[in-house]
Amino acid sequence: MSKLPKYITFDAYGTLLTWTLEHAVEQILGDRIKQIDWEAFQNEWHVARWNDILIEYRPYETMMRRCFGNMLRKYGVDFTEEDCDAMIANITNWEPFPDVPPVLRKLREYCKIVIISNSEDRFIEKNIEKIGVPFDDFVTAEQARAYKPAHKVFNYTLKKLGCDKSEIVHCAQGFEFDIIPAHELGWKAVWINRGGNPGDKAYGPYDELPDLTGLPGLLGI
Amino acid sequence: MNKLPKFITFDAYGTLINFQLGKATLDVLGDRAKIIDTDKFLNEYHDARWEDIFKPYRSYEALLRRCFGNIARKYHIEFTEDDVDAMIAAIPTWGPFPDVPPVLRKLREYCKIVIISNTEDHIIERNIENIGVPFDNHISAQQARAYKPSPVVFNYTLKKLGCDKSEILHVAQGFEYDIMPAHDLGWKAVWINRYGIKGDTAYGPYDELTDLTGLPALLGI
Repeated sequence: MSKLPKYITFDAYGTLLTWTLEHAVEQILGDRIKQIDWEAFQNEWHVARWNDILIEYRPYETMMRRCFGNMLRKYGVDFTEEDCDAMIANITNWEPFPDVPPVLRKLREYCKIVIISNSEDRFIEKNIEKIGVPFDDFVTAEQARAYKPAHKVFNYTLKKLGCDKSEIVHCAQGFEFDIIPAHELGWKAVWINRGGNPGDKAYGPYDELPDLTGLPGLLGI
Repeated sequence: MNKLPKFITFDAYGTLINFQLGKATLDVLGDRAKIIDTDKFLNEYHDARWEDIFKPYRSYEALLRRCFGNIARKYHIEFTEDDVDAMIAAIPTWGPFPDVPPVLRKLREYCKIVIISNTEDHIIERNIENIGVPFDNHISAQQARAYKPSPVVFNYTLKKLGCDKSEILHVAQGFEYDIMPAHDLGWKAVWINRYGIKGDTAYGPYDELTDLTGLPALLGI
């Protein structure tokens, strides 16, 4: 990339912040987890969340509580609202990946940095505090009333930032949530492939990095 | 009152909108309600919501989900997330009391009319559509990140409207949610005592009406 973008937009959960929800739920369920196929539960839970964000917008906490509740019932696990509260409370405890704060500090000397997250404002504000680097703006599903990969979120971002897509580079770990819609909309994208997953060039062009460390170099900083 | 206020602020649920959460809840439960003391169940559900609004802010849907879930478990009622979804889905379908639209149409020729509601934007916007009269603004718990009777909501309202409390008349059916904090903060208030319950002039001065019909005359319109 020869020209610096005006904005670098980042997905948050899994890209900047460690997603440790499953680990938290292991703690919350305790012995109850022994009665279920936890691997299958996690996979189904992931699919349930993916399906839920594609239907009518509901706030993130609502979506998370209902998917969790549906799964626990399906697997015959007794649970209380306090279990759900504890699951939700975990979201704001997630830590940034160690490569994230130093890279963000460097990038923000050259570009505006922005988060685009499938979350609620009150959560992402706490997540940003955890990252410890100030952002120039943040866009949430709450604001856009839609979840990525919906184009609505990306178009809302352009409107909120008052810029053209050509002025943005979007960086994200989620291929289906972020890289595919970025491709569809003609946004420049960097895939942060933390999990070492196979990509799909049909949704390119995109650059690919294993974490944020190489991002300044990629941008010529 | 000899001087017209600049803003008339209205509570929504129970004041303008026929609040039917009890009915919606019993509709969802259907035959399952036969095994319980429904009056007691609904009272406990009401009390649980009252307690929950004083906790750190969570979205209205999330608050309703956890309160309903706690009480349903307490009464040993089996329920699914779809039940909770159905209960919440009823809220944006609620419409106005019959006295409301004509009075609002008249008032808005003289004053700005605003809603202050313990709910979320995506829900109250639908309720406003049902009322069928445009409002100049609306304030929600989501925006203020607090629920009435918290002074946070009222102070947020002053900031959002860019006015002084002396320019506002607050109109509400809820005594504890609205009339008491209005008194504490020195807002002028009209209590819409739709259900003919006993007031408490210790939280006065406030005017009292049985519905909205007499409001224009009270304001000298």
